[in-house]
Amino acid sequence: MNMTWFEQNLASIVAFVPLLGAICALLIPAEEKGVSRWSAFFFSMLAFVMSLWMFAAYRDYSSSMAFEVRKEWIPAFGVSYHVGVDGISLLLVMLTTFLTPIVVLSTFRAVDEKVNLYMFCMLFLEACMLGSLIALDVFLFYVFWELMLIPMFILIGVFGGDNRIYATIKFFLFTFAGSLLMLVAILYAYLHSTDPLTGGHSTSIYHLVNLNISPNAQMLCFLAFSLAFAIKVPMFPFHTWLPDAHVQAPTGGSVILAGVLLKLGVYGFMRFAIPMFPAAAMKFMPVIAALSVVGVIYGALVAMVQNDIKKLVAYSSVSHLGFVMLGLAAMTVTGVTGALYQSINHGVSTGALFLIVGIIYERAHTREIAHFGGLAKLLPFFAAVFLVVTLSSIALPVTNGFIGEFMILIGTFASGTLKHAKIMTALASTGVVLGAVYMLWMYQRVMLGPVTNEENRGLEDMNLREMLYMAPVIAMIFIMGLFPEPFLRKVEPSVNKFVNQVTSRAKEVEEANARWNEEHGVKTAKAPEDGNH
Amino acid sequence: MPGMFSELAKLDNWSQWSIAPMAIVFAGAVATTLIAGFVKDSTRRSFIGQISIFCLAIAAAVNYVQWTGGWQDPGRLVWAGSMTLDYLTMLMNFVFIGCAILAILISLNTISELGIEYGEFYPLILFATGGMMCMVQATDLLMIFIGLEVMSIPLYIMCGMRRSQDRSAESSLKYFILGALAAGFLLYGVALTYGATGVTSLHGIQRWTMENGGLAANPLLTAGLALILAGFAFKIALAPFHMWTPDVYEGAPTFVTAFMSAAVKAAGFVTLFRILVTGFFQNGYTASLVGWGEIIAILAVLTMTIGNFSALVTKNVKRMLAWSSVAHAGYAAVGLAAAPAAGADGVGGVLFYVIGYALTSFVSFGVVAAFEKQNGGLSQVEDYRGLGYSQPFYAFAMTVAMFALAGIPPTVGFLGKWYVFKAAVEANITWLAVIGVLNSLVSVYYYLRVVVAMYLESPEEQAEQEPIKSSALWLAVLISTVLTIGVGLFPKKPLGAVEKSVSPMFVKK
Repeated sequence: MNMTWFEQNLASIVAFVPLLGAICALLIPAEEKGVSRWSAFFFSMLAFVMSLWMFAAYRDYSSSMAFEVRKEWIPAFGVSYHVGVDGISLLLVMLTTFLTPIVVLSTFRAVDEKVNLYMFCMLFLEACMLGSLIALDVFLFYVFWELMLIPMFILIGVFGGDNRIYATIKFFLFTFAGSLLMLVAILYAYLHSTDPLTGGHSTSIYHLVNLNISPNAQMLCFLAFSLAFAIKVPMFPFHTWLPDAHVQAPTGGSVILAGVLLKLGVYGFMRFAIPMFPAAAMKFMPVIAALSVVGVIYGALVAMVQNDIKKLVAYSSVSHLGFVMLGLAAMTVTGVTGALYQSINHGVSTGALFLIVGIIYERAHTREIAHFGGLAKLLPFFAAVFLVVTLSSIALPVTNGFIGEFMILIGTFASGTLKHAKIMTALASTGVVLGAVYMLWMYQRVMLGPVTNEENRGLEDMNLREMLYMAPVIAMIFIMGLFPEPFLRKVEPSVNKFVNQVTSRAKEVEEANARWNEEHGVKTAKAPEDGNH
Repeated sequence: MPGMFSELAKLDNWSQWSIAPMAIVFAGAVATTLIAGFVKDSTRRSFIGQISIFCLAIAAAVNYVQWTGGWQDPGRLVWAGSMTLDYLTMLMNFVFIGCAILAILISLNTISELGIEYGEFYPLILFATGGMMCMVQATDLLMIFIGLEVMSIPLYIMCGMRRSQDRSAESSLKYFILGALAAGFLLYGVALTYGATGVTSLHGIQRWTMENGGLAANPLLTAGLALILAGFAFKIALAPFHMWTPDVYEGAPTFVTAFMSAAVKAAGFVTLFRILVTGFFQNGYTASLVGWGEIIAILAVLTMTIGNFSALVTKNVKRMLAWSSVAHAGYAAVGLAAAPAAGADGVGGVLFYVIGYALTSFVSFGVVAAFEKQNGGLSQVEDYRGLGYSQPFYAFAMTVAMFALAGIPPTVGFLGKWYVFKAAVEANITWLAVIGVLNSLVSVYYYLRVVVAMYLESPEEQAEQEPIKSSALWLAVLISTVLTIGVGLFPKKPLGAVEKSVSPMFVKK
């Protein structure tokens, strides 16, 4: 294989281009708003172009990682700068680099103060997200994962709404709380790993997937990892920070939060929690699935009664992410692929919904559903765009949402490992119906019917810049809905490998655990319960 | 004892060379004392500070020569077995000299702002630094005690240097009285140990306990160890011996507080683990009825929890940092509690943690010093509102310090936590690591509050937020901020140095 240095390091380059942009943003004086904006746009576009290159250069590397680089970093702790991309992270990387320039473009008017700080946060956040997506070393991942909190903290806290300080502290504390116990679990796993090359411990994911630890420790470690990721996803009942954060965050922050940040929770499960502790993961899958189903229905029901459009979209995220986690819990190739695909869809369509809320908020300075009515007559372009995005969100065929939800439901229904899979699928399906109810009802109340509020008559339709950044989103909705094949082709080999590896490893570990319990005189029936309580 | 004097008579060159950095610092202290007497003009006092920095720089250079091979046999005992020069000593000499230089840099221009109208601060800080170097270099309990006192007495004076302020006087008096009590504990502990074993040298105690069936066999020795522990727990502010910390730290001039929280704490921890590991620990051999690891684990839990919860309800930034300093002693003690089982990893964790904390505390206290004035200045968290926009540099430094103290990567604070908690998990006391991380969660709230005030809130009225104009202070904050992030990002060399320092302590003899 003849790869140039550039192609070999492409993953790092994609992640470090926004970091460079972030440093530039800091150096630009505060008065030069235009320069800040265009330089941020330039760097985010550059990252996108690089990631397109990566997408094109990506072949089926089902045996190993693509664009893999491993360099010594902290040898004393067995930590290395180890990055790489596979089908699971590739699409999420693409989603991140796709959304960031759109967000940057969308804030050209909305953010007029401290522009350089805003752009710094945006690009720094992008770099951290990309960093945690390409990290194959759990220490490196943790560094990016924690670092990500800081720009988001500033985005919500400085640029957010009236109650922003409460929301941003809540966001910070919730996510920080989750990751702290994960830190202990990482330490535990690290101290039980072996790097065959050095003989010492290692934090590389390659050496963490075949740990030899007691069944109880597996359970506890998996729970610690799960807590961190479940808060980020957020899974019911750890979701309470999300509506606050979303409502207070500026539009750009919400788009990134819903579009990418939440997916990192799902990604964390797929890359670390499940492969590292497969047997424990398989045991907890029914719990995860059940919580996901509760999340699907609960999120939808709560979304239905919201008066604030943004809050409605925020709760719809809880519902959609429930679907994603259900697909993952099914542990079938179709289900997991669907979960991943739906993650991307949710990023695109919910990102678009937040942009739409932002557009309307910039004009009317309110997000109350009751304030609007009959906007379709006044803003025809806006109405069309809004309709497409709404339909994508409720998973109408030909839009991207349909493919994802369909795969998740099929995959879950056919799951051989998940208990009560059929009942769960049936319950989750009601979420699809409820989703249609709250989205269409909201659309109807805001857009259709007679103009109820005379104040709204002065509202302008979308301008060229807004159309420009909504156009790629609308295009993606249809492209991913009509031609999923090119995307799925890149994903499937890696998912296949993931599912096979986890299920077979789970069996091995299960047998090893049985032996362990025998040797240590633990009654086999009792062991899992010890982990629970 | 009499043997010691005859030994002294035939001192070799090695003995003299081994204490060269310490001797230079003490010589500088004496010289600056004399010079200070002749400088009456208060505007020229910073000159004494510059001489002090020069002395410290020479000491650092000599220390560097020793570190890079000028000392042939690291760990050999000199001065009739009462001292040693190992990598641990050399590393700590760098740390103490660095702390003294940073403290002097912070003080150069701020000292007159605080109304301290005499130049004796510089000799005092040099004496204290020399005392620390002596304390860490010593391998004999009496020598350690001498070092400790040489370190402490200048500190009592320095705390009270703002004579016009009640708080400063209170700080000095409180520190002095409680310090004297702690010294009494320590000395009594040394006496009991001597009574039990007949020796005061750490290696002698180790030999004695190995030959006589361990601590458990001798209640007198156990009592001695307990008293020594209590004495040191006072110096490094481990609960329940921490009560003096907030008052003393708050009342002292801020550059003294920074020096105490960085260097004194480091010196106390390093000396404590040298005593425990060299004197009272025999490579896995149970040294006492109740191992000291368990006792320190309990102290660590108390210290972390009390420190963090007290900081949580404190509104004055300096006092909050003082409580946080108590909490950080608790985190470092986690590594010490793990040392009996995790060995070099536990002690290395302590060492790395205190060095990292020293860097971070110079950032945080440096920023506090920049806004501390004779009348007014910034003291409460609310006073820091909007600082991010009026004073971007100092606010950024403070933010770095807050995130480092909260243990967020990629700062040195995160690596320190990683190191000590790793040791705890390795020593099979995972519960202690869990308590540690939960404490971090509590702490992040009050650290965030400062960041929130600086960036997310705006001042109610046009507040006076001018820092003291001082390029030396600015430089000190810059250096420690860069190191806080830099060591966090590229810790390979510092970690190597730490490992090199502590691993010989655990070699089986």
